[in-house]
Amino acid sequence: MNHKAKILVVDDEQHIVLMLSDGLKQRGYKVETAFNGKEAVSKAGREEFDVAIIDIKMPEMDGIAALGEIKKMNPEVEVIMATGYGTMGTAVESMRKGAFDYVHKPFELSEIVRVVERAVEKRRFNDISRAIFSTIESNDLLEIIVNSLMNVLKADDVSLMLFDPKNRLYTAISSGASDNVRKNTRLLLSEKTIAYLKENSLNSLVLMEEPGKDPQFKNIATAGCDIKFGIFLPLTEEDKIIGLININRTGESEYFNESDLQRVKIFGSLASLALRNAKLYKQLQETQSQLIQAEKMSALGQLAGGLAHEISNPLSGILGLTQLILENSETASQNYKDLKEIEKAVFRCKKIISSLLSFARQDKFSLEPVNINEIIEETLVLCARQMEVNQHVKIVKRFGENLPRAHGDFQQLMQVFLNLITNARDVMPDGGELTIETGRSDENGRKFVTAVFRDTGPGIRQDIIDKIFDPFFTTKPVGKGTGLGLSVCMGIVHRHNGKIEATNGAEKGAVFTVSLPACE
Amino acid sequence: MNERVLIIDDDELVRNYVSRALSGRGFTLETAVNGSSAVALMEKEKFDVIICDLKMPDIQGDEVIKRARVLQPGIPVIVISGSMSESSKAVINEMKVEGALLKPFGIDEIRSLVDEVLKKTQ
Ligand SMILES: Nc1ncnc2c1ncn2[C@@H]1O[C@H](COP(=O)(O)OP(=O)(O)OP(=O)(O)O)[C@@H](O)[C@H]1O
Repeated sequence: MNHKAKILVVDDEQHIVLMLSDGLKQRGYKVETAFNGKEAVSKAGREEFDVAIIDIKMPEMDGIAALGEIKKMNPEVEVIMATGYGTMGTAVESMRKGAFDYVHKPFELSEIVRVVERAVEKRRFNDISRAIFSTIESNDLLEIIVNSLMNVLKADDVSLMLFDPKNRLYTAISSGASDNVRKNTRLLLSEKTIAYLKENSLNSLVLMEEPGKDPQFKNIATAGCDIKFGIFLPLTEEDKIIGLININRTGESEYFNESDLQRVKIFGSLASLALRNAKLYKQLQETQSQLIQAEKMSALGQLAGGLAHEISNPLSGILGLTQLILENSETASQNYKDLKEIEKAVFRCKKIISSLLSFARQDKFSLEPVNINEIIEETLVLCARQMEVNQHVKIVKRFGENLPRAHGDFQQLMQVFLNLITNARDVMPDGGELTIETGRSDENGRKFVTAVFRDTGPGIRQDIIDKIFDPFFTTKPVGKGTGLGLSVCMGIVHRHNGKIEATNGAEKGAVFTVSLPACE
Repeated sequence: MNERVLIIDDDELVRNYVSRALSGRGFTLETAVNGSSAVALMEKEKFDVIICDLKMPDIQGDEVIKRARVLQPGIPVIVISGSMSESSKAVINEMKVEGALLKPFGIDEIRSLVDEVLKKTQ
């Protein structure tokens, strides 16, 4: 919004048009003129104006009609009405039709310039807030906020700080503060400000003058403190501070004046609101994708059920007949060996069908308070010894104590943990370590019990990390993996209203986290 | 000895291997290709055990079992089913059948189940 505003001047009296157009041009505005309502409307139809000054009493089409037409074409344009005989009636009518303000004729140039300035300012704010509210991607939004503030307030640097999930303040975006020392000083000053505001249960704007010279900030790197005048504006949501915008002028600049502060305040509430919108939008998107996922699951469930049924008869025949021939074959013959392979293949198919069904199973299952540590212990009974002895995978247990119980189905959760453990085993053929950690977490006020499985395998390739929960997705060689293990896990965990997530560890290996809603 | 076994399944492949698995073991075997012919057979002859598929084109398995229980009270029933869905499980529970196998099953499984069921009802 750095361009000079464009203004349309409309009056049937030539000398007024000339006076206004010259005066405004001198002040750097771009000006177009029209001598009656019709001409004004057609000009406004061809190009966009920021502001229009329209005389009310004109031949052919009067000012009020022109105002209506122009607003219809471009609701953003701010219109100032000039009323000749100053009857309140016409003025009120024009305000009702959306005029920004009105001036009485005859007027001084300086008087109209002041109104124009205000109208232009309003336009700018409208444009900025439109940009802010039409942006739903948080990152773009932050950029718009910071850049607009740089322009509007003629600031040298602007930073926007938010809280991370661990409730630590961080610099989400900053413009103008070139190096890390400067950025860091701003962050530290912002932290101090928020602490001060919280202590005094305030959320008002804080002004600082040369904080570098202020003894109370002595231990905050004075080296990076080139701030001459600083504004610290808290962002709030329902009276809670959710972040802060810091706006600074450095060097030999002017003090922020009253109208600067006014603008900053308006900005603060705009930005808070927009951030909240962005957050809601993100939540909406998440819910949507969960719904889509649930729908996919249910379609797949029906498909799986039908498929299992259709395939079970032929498969049964293959198995039965194979075994019948096996009974009459020489155990040393090649035929016998081949038939044994066929028999094994059928068992493999049987296993695929049953995991497909258990992944997609729609039937109810019994949720009761379960102890997550107990379920994992029980699962380990099935596989731990074999893993430690045969595969040299060391299993390290870090179980949380006094954990709340989870709402769960013991058998199905065993299935989930067994799949995660065998996956870990499969990615560490030459041995390694599997750490199983249990604990609790809080999310939006909901309590969860968590189990984290951390292995020392190669980790999950970044390009497939989004796909590993898809049914039939596998990187194992043909015949070795069904690609159903993780989708079974996800199906079960989702039916528990829980979450399962895959990430890569800080050093190496994959990390799978299962979160289940806690009882109470 | 010489117990009479009725095998009911609309899939020839299944009828074929089940009857071959049970042949040569002293049973008299009969097969039915659907529910209505099974009922017709049971109206004429007595059986010692029936092996019955659940999903069939005409009369469903549960209906066949109900009729069997009326025609020949106390007859043991073995269900063979392509899925253990909720509805199949419900039939198995409500009908109080003597045995059930999920397809695909092997010849040893059906042999030992038939033997077991017959031993219990003797
Ligand atoms: N611990 C892990 N480390 C790295 N990659 C993993 C890990 N667990 C799963 N994956 C990746 O996710 C893919 C899908 O896993 P999933 O359990 O669904 O099927 P699978 O293990 O391939 O087959 P199956 O379940 O039949 O053994 C795997 O092929 C592998 O690429």
